[in-house]
Amino acid sequence: MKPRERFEFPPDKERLFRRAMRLEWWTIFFLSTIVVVMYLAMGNSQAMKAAWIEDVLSLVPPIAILTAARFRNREPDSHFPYGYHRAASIAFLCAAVALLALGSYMLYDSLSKLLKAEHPTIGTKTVFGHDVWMGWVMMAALAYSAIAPVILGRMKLPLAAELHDKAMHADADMNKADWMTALAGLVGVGGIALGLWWADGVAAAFISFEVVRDGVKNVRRVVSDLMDSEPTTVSKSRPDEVVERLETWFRGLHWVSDARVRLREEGHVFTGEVFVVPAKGEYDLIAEMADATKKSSAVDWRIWDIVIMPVADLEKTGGEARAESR
Amino acid sequence: MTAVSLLALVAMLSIPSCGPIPKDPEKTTERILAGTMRVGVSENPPWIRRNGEEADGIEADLIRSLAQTMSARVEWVWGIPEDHYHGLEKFEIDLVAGGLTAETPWKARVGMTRPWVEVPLTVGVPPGHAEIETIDGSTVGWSSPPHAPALLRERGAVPVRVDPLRSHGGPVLAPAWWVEGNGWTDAGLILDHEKHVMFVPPGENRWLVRVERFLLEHEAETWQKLREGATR
Repeated sequence: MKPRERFEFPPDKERLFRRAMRLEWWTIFFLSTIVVVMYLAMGNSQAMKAAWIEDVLSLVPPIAILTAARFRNREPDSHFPYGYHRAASIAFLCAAVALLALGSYMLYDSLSKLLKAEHPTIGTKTVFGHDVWMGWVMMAALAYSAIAPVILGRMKLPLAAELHDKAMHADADMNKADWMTALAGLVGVGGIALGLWWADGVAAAFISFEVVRDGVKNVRRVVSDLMDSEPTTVSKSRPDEVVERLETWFRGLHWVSDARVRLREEGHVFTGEVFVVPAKGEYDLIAEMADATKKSSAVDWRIWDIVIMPVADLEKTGGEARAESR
Repeated sequence: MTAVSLLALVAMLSIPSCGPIPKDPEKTTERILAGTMRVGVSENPPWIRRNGEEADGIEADLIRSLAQTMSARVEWVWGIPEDHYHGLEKFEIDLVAGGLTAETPWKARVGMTRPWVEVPLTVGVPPGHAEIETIDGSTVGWSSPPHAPALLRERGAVPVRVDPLRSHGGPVLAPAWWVEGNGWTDAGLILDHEKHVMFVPPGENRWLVRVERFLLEHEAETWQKLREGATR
């Protein structure tokens, strides 16, 4: 079998990619400290428990992204002639499903506790020699838990856009939204302080609901990626104009009478086939095709491993053409 | 986003001005102040001793002290701990005491104070007895708690029930305060820890904080009383 060519970042994107990977390592570091702090402060508060679980779950996307990064750049071989790109999507699917599953459980848990009208009991603990009401410790932990993720999320978002990386975009988005979780937690614990025992359960339910929403959003994203959907933009999920640009470029070639493109996303790259109707005249078709294959990746840095297919008729492609020739 | 955060911050900072924080959802503290404190108790010397309808003992004395600071009178309710926990759940009891420890599944359903005194269950030897490094193979006397023989057997010792414990000529398993109070030597072999707590209604955090702080303030005094009472 003929394996694909290996994908290479253009030099400026390579730099951004390395920066993004560094930021993901920092994310893992800060999130780990947050997980520890939240666990120690958590006590009997449902909202704190929900926020803690969400923090633990937030560790999964960076780990998935960093692991996938190792696979992506692997040279395609005879075992995996199409390369290892898909490993990234699979990793992200696992992360999204985990979010959805755990978020649903959290939602069920907090709602059932609310219905059972359980009053959270929060007492004191000795912190640095003083007897402090744990509620204050919880609020401090919540405030701490919002700082690093929000900053890191804002730093990663533009990188995700530049690198056309949807996994990174989803991860950065979730980090940035951590301020909402912290706020919900603060309202929950603040409510308990004021004698509103139900505030904690409501806050927990809100946090869980947001986790479920994130899970649903990401599962949809990854599933359409794995189903080879049309290329879409990173943030707004609108069809990417790379399809049109590539078609226009091909039609502009002197040896091409007409061309249609069939592209799919594979992680952060676009790949697929171009069906061309060669123009009439004298020229070396093979040489022109080879030349076009090389030059087409200059149309957009995300284009990789295009296969050019000369056809007689653009309307009938693939299966239909085969059926006719029988 | 910034507007919402600022609003929330302002709301947070105004909390302390709403009176003592945290509050009791069921207003337990308010009810007890200059009112009645309903205390569920069960007999367990030296912590709680029955005296007709009244209660004596280390915890009873502390509870009476606490009530005094709140200008409240104490209403003792006698019964088994399980009934008292149900009472707490229904907010019909304010405090439960009886030498109870943190080793209970009820802590998930009712409010439990932090352990205010932690008593090691240790091996002690009578004065003049040789020092011991291990109890493996030895006969060790015990009198309480009920799971003491199991703890001893785990370490290879042969448990023998002795009453009064003082009369045993060899090593015994006893609370640290008993060993110290009777002038015996602590062999330093700790088999368990008793984390003593009291229980309050679930979610009554202002009440819980008050009880916790009061108990912890009297921890040293409690050890003193335990040692003094060891020779009874």
